[in-house]
Amino acid sequence: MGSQQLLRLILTLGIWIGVLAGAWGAVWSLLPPGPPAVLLSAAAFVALYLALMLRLGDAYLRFTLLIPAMALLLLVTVVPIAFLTYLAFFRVTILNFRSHWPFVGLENFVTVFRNDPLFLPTLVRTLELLVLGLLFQFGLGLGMALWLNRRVRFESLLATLILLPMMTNSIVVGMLWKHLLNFYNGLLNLLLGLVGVEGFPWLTTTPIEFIAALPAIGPWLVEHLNANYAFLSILVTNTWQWMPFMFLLLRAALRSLPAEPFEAARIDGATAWQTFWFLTLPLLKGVIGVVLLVRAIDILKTFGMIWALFGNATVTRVMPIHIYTVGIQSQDYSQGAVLSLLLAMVSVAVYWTFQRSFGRPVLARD
Amino acid sequence: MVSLVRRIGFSLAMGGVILVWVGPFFWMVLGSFKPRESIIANELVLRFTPTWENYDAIFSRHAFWTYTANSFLVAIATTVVTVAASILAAYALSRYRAGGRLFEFWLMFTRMLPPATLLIPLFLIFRTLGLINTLTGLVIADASFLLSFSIWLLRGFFDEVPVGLEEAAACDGASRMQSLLYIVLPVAAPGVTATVILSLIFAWNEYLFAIVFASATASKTLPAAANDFITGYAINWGPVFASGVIIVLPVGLAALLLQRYIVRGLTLGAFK
Repeated sequence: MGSQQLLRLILTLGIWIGVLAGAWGAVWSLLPPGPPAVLLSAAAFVALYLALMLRLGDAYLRFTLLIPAMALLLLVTVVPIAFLTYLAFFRVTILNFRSHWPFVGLENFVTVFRNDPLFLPTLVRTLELLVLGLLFQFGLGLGMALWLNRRVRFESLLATLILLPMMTNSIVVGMLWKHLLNFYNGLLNLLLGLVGVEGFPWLTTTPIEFIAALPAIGPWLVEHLNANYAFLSILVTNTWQWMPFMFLLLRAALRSLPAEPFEAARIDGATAWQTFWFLTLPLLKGVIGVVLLVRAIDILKTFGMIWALFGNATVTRVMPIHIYTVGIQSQDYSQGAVLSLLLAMVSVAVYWTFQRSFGRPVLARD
Repeated sequence: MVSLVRRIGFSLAMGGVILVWVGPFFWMVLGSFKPRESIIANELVLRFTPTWENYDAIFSRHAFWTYTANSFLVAIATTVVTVAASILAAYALSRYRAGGRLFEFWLMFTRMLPPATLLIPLFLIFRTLGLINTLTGLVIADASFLLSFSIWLLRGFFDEVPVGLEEAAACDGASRMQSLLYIVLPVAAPGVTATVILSLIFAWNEYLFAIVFASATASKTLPAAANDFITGYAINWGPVFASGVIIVLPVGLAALLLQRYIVRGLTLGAFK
């Protein structure tokens, strides 16, 4: 691109941003804050954007096409993250929100680590849910994908049934399971009763007997690693909802693998186990990395399901629920901001770990 | 003989698997038609007189018509904003490799970011802008969180459209925008449909922003309303089931009728 072209781009964009700012200022000085003002600004933005597209034409399309997405991302992710970081280093609560915000440096972080007795257990629980949830869902999903690795009858019906849980609102899933796992008249305990097994106290923090009975580590697991029925219920519900996702994607990947290597392995007399370990798994490595990462990210976002099952009970909290309770319900914005930043860091760390261990950037394309 | 046994075993196992995933939904639908005493009974109740009282309760005693309308409105508006913005951006990424590494990084970062992390700053910003308890605020928040997923998906679909088609159009004097509108979009129509369906479903199911930014009666969406039933002190299960059925119904229909698109969207969304 020549310098003249660049100059034209900069000038046009400058004029355009000026007009937009003018329109925006006019709207906001005339109207009180609220939806009409926001919608009018948005309409002004769209109109000016279309005019700009027409004026600049094809030669600048690589820039103009990205403007709406960039504007949205800038306003609703970049600015809030900057604001979040700001909040974390100042002391802002509902009490002083409209007055002075004192700068406190790292004090908010220190408070979270020292004075928030719920923070560490919550973080541990979140990570434990991540690890165990992935393990359960991946294990069952892969097992089922290997089992149904062929055309089956009622293929499309199966697909519908498989899609239903993961397309269902997490709050509804949580509500439903809260009823199914009810001690007195939940379906699960009633069914167990039919075969003469006494029901389990699913939704309580009763320690799981056989884990608690383990020598030496049993009590420690109960004390520090949530070896109780409530956490198990969360795992069961999450696995019920998301194992089908693993199954769907792994089966799709399995069925698209080339047939020749498997043919060759069969001729060479490889056992089923050898074929799986030395052929299927390596061929699937990239796909496995992707599905694990997608699920890992999703588990870190878990809110509604646990919220519906247990509300903000302290013994079942995960990070998003803790953020909601501290930042929104107790209106301690700075503490909430610190927790948010820490959760974001965990997400990034999880992403990098997967990127490292699966060899190539799994969500990014070259 | 052995193959017969295997086939029966397979059918049984398959039946068990289907039961595990369909049973709970079946129980929910059944429960939504049960009278109160059948729901709280301490035994398996399979025979009861079906009643509409639970549906009647949520629609007459709670403003479920409003909530349903709000949910549809939010889902549609969010999808329009998201898909419009992401068609343009995805085309730029697919054909020009535009945007640079920073933009790509940011797209990925927002896709990973748990929505809860932005709850507090968005809440404060929206409060200043007067957007709390309005559908406008909810749509803006939902749209920008869906954006990265939708751009990603559409970019994958656009990449599959042969460039040759567009070059031919350019020879005939079509502008880039014309070729996007009249060639790329029609050819990638199944992909665009998949993106639209998935973003409708995600916006329909969104609850975290809904309970924080739009919890007033006039702006409440269905998941937020259902949430009210269970955070109360004693849970009245009949209306809970009924509202669950209302929330799942459209999604279930979509899973039944449009599963081809959904599966394609989910698979590409993860693998590309």
